[in-house]
Amino acid sequence: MNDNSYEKRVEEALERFLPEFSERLDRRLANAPWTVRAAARRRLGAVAACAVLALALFAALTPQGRAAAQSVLRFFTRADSEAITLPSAEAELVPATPRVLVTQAAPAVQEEGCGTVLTPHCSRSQVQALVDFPVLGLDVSGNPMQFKGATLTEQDGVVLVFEGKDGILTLAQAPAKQVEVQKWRISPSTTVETVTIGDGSGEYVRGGWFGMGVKEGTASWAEEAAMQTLRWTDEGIQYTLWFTAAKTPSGIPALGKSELAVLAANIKAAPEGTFATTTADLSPQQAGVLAGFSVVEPQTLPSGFKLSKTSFSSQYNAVCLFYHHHPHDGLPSLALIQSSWAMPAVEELQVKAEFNDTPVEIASEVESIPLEGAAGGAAALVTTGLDPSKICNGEQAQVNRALLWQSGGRNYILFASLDLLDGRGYLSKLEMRRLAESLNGIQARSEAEIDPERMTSIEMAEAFGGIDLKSPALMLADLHLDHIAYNNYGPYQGSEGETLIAQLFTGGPVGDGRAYKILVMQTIHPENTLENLALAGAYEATAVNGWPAIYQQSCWAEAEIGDQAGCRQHLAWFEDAKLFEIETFLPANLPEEMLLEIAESMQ
Amino acid sequence: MKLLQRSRRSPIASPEEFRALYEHNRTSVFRYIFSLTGGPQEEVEDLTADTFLRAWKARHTFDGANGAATGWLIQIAKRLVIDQYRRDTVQNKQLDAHFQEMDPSPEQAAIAGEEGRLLLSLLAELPDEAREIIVLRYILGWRVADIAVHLGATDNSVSVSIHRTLTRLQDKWQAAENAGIRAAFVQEEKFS
Repeated sequence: MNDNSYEKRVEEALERFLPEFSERLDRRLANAPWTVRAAARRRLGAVAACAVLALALFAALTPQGRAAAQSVLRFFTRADSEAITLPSAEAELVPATPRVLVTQAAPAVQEEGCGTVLTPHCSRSQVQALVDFPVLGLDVSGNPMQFKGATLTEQDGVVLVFEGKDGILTLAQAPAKQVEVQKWRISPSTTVETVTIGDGSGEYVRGGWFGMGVKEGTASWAEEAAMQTLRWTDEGIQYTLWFTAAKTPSGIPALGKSELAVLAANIKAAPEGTFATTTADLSPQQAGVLAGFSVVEPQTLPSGFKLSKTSFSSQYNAVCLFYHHHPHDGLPSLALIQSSWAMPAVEELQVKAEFNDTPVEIASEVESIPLEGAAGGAAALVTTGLDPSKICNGEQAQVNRALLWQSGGRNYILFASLDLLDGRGYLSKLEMRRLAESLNGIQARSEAEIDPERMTSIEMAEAFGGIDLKSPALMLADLHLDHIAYNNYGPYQGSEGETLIAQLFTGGPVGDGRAYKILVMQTIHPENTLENLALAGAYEATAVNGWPAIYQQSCWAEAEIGDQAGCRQHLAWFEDAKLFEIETFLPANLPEEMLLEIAESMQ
Repeated sequence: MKLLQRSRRSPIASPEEFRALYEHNRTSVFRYIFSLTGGPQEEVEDLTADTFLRAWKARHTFDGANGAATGWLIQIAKRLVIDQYRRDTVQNKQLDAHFQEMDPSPEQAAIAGEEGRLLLSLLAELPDEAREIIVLRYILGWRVADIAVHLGATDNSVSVSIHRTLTRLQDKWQAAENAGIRAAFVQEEKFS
């Protein structure tokens, strides 16, 4: 055979070489986002949501609708299925180039108003001044409940919240507009009971909307949920009283249908004194006069903290300064106690938890750290388990680490909160040390020292850890990088040998008590495996850039008032023997596809 | 809640547009990957699927005309093939090993018969760029000018490369036959 024939044969062989894919390729991409099936799925979701809305509007606005609904229920609307659609984040998937990262933590958003149903912070008189109907309260004197605060609803209504060890009682009241009277959706199958309330009657339902598992964007009715709702109208005002019960040893809620009916019947009898006040009674100077020493106050505070209350304890001759990071926070997250007397022993400050009615001591870790200006040049850092209320006349604070030291003949305890990765309210160990040293009269430390609990750039974290850190190139526009934490303490503490680096992206209405955030976590030398993580169940198998991954999601509807809902979504995968996780806490369901896209943009 | 806005709309942004892109290009992408890797079939199909999934996710970065989308897909496929080989050394095996492991199903036999196997083994011995040019020219049927644009080269350099590579392939083909590897094929030729 000559060269020409070989030349021809090679060319022909190349042109004849036409491998064909099998049906497997199309099968694998049958649910790809561009397919007709995926488009239909999206449309179906939209149609379902629209249908629910349309039915609700029909029932509420048209005479026929009202008649049909009222023939069944007076104060509730039955949803057309056991699941309701939760709000879904509306977002377009586009890449962000360059990285959507900032190197400075943005200030907490200061919201106007009285907060949300979860974090009401106005007094009754404050909300009364904003509405044109008489705001009534509950007489909870027979129950161990305390008034937490009041807020307004979008429907010109008022919500009062009471809290206690038995649970949370919420009373909503608003002019009884027809649209609102029947708005409260319940399961189509749940039992509605008629309850006598004074001279009238109301309707009582047990259960609530919760979403667990991987059903995207829906919440299902849970009959067994520890939630009870009572609705009635009186003199043109629509009332809704709902009780979220705390867990009891017997499993029976502390308040039931009849107790709620009694509370409802006595609503007008609520005395003004039911509403507690939380204003500070003393100034630091006044407290210092009582204590017989000049109170030392921090010259500078970590960003966001403000003095909110001062108290004096005659038992320990101590002055307690409390600081809120955000006015909407229920409890202060920083407390400074100082006394010229001896402080109680650490053991006496220890919190006792109750487990099955048995007091259990919460374990504490004690570490000696160098502290300039302190007696002996050192302080004790106690993590978890100490309670400032034992010194400060029962005043509570949301704190779980404490620095104890002596300086200038005075005893100090600085209580602070651990980083709960929600972008606010915590102090790192280094920040506690800096604050304590400033109280001792020591000049500020160099800010150049990297704080592993509060790093503000990828570059800083990479330099500190000596590793390549992956970060998403895509992020929701409303969120910004708040900080990066190494080996974070608290709920995400890694075991020995593991190194966890958490990047917190936060934004939106942070400060209303809800954490709107996306956590991007990377664990080096993880002890866990994907199989272990999957053992939690309720997951969906997926892939991130070809790496096997699991996706979990749970959603809940807080209440109909204010359309409160929340979703936690979690995506985990292993890549090059590292565990990567993305966790969202958002007020709406983020489409899974978008979460995957953020994950796949990691670089 | 929105991701950052982009400034220019991609011509393959919508599901409908992308679906057309997929249906028009899946064969080319599959053949391209198959020619570069030599199979096995399932891995090539996975890589083909991954190519389109990655393209879907990056579709907003594509701002060229629809006609340029094929080249863009080919670039994505090439990167995936390289990544795959880097990532998994098990897969970075010689084509011979591939052929030994190949399941001789009718489907695969049809794809890579004796002639195809020889062709793949010869392609595997070529330098990367030369192999890609041959694959684009003969297996995907691209014009020289299109290959030149795709690779950022001149028409002339592509033509020269094709000529040289073909000569090289002819030599190797001949050598393989002489070595008897192609004996059965030659026998078949003689009697056909």
